[in-house]
Amino acid sequence: MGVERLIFAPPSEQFLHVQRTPVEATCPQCGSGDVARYPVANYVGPRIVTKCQTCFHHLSVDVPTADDHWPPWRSATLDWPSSRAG
Amino acid sequence: MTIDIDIDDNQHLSNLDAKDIARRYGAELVELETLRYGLLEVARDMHESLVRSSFSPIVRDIQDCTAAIHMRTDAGWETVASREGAMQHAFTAQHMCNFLMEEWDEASLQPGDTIFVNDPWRGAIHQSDVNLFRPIIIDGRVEFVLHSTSHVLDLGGAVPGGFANGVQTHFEEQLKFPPTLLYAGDVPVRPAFNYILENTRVPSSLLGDLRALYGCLAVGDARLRELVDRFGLALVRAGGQYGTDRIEQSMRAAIAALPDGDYPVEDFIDEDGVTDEELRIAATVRVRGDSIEVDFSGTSRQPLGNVGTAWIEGTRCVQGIKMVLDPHSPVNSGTLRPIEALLPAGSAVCTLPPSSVSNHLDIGSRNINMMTTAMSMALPEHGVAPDSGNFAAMMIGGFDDRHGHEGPWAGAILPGGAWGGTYKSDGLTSVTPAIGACRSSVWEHIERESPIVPLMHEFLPDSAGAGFHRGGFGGIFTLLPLATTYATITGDRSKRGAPGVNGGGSGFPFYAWLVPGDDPSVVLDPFDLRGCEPLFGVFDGQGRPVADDGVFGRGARYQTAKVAGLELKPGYALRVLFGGGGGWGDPLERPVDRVLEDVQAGLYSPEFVERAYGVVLSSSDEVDVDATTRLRAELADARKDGKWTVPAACPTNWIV
Repeated sequence: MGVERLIFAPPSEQFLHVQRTPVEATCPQCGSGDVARYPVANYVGPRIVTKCQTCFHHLSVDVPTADDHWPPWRSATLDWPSSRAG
Repeated sequence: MTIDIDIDDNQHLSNLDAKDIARRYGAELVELETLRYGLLEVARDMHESLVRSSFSPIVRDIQDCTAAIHMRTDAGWETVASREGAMQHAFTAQHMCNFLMEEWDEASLQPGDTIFVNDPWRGAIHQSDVNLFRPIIIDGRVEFVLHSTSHVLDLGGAVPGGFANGVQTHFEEQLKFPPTLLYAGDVPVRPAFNYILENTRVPSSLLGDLRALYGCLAVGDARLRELVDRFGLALVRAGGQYGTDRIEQSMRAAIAALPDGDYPVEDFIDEDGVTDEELRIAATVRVRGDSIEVDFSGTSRQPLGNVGTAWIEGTRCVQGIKMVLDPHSPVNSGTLRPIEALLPAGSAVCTLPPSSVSNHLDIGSRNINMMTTAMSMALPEHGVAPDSGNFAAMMIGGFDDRHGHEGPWAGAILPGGAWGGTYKSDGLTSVTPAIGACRSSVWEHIERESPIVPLMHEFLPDSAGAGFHRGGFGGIFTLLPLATTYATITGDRSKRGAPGVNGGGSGFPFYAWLVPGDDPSVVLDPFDLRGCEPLFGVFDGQGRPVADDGVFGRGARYQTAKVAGLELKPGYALRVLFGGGGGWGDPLERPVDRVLEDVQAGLYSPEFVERAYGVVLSSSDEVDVDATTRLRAELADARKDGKWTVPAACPTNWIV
């Protein structure tokens, strides 16, 4: 990981939306087939949820990987060895 | 002693008796309650210590500061107790701790280490709000992280005092610190201190505040260890878990009482201080069972100016929801658990670096107002109108050249604002908006420490949005500099005041003037505009403020209420008029005796109550009942025909 996630160009769209990616699954709570995966800010921080859109039951709550780009920015030194001073 | 907590039990705490709770948490209920409050007392001690020992007025007087205790859990780091001076900090603290602990190598931490962070992309509100974290290592493992937060007067950058209005990147704002070791084993890290102190305009104040932030963590360290020594780590952890579960249960029970549904809300920021582009903040609040999702999709792209925020709106929104649904319980991790937020990357609520984010006040206030509005849609009988939406916040400073006072100085001025009317009462007058709910400034301290004289700080008549329950009243604040002073003014709702709800009217917008300071009859009369230079506001062709149909910026120096580098020379005063809250309900139905009370108290003028409430006075202490009945009927009919709307609050007796 380098410095590529430190500085961004501003978006060109006037209004921004979070994309919910449909997932082929059935909610174990309510039986709905309307399940989606998307990034959220939950109570501890950024997470990727797979969630029933009918009853909000979580099928999974995952810590984002580097490929999830959530949040978009990332420390350039995250994977470096740590010193006494950090 | 090891205690196994059966947290997979899906039963709500309210369904459990004391024996069940003891079984679930491995401790007696009385012990759990003792420790729940014990942790709150540690946080309170930390906060009191911080307020008592800090140097700058923004901590000592305004109490823009907070202390929190985070505990290791299976989910990450959860806030088990907090004590806030500024309400928003209690909602944003937990994410900061998690960002830090995911990034910092725990194995390198030692007792007494203290880490400094003010990076908005790591959960800080803006760079001016600095955070110190102190890990508490017990039996070789970090079990708790103590956290202190405060606004500081200056951390360098292009614009003194933060709120870098007019800039477009964070490079031009206060210095931004990723996690940085400030104390290594209780020993100050000299390079870190040197870097900070040599890049601020007020090193004495900042050093005092940093030591206060560190000192309160040392107090918390001692108090928390006393608790652990007395009760044992496992029991203290059980108390923390029980305390957060109780608050989660309280929030979920309140959410479950809402009708399932989608509640779309929006509000606007006048402009961003760089362009005149209006910003739309949109959210759909989705309620399902005992959980909520706040989706900010539809929000404007990140602004060029500094009015967006990087990350915090995802938890700051919870504050507005809690205000309506569960206003009495203390804030901890349990408050946040039932709610998730969707933040569109690149939007005004999730700006991408290197955007500027120093003015978080306006978007934060909109966020809170939007959430209370959404709750009002879900619970119409519990409506709350928006607050004044700004604090009339001013950062001031310069070099004091008066004999005996020579030196750099800085201060923060927070005259306040007002809250909107609610379903059960008029809005609060002379309070800071809910986002902070902290204190106003202490003028005696300002006068003693700064070369300025606060001349006026009082209610502004005709500023509260009309309603069955009117908004709180806005105010007048006038300061006279005794030495050349540079001011940053940060405000919004300057194009239009706080909107009303359920038929209520808008509050008065936000205005400012430079006023000749040598004529007491002018400087002490806020309605006398002779010789005054308008700085911003909505005016008619004669320079009179008109809230409903004037032109924003007409004849004014600025086309924005977000001003930096305003030079104030001795002999000229700065006057701001800040608006009141929006009204709740139909003003034509407000009892006439309550309207009369406001007139007799000097809060409303007879002219305004006739226009907005349809109440006609025959004398200063008597209502003309027949004329009032006729006028109210006429106005109600005109409203049905689309020929009358409740006028925005606005004084009428201007002298130009």
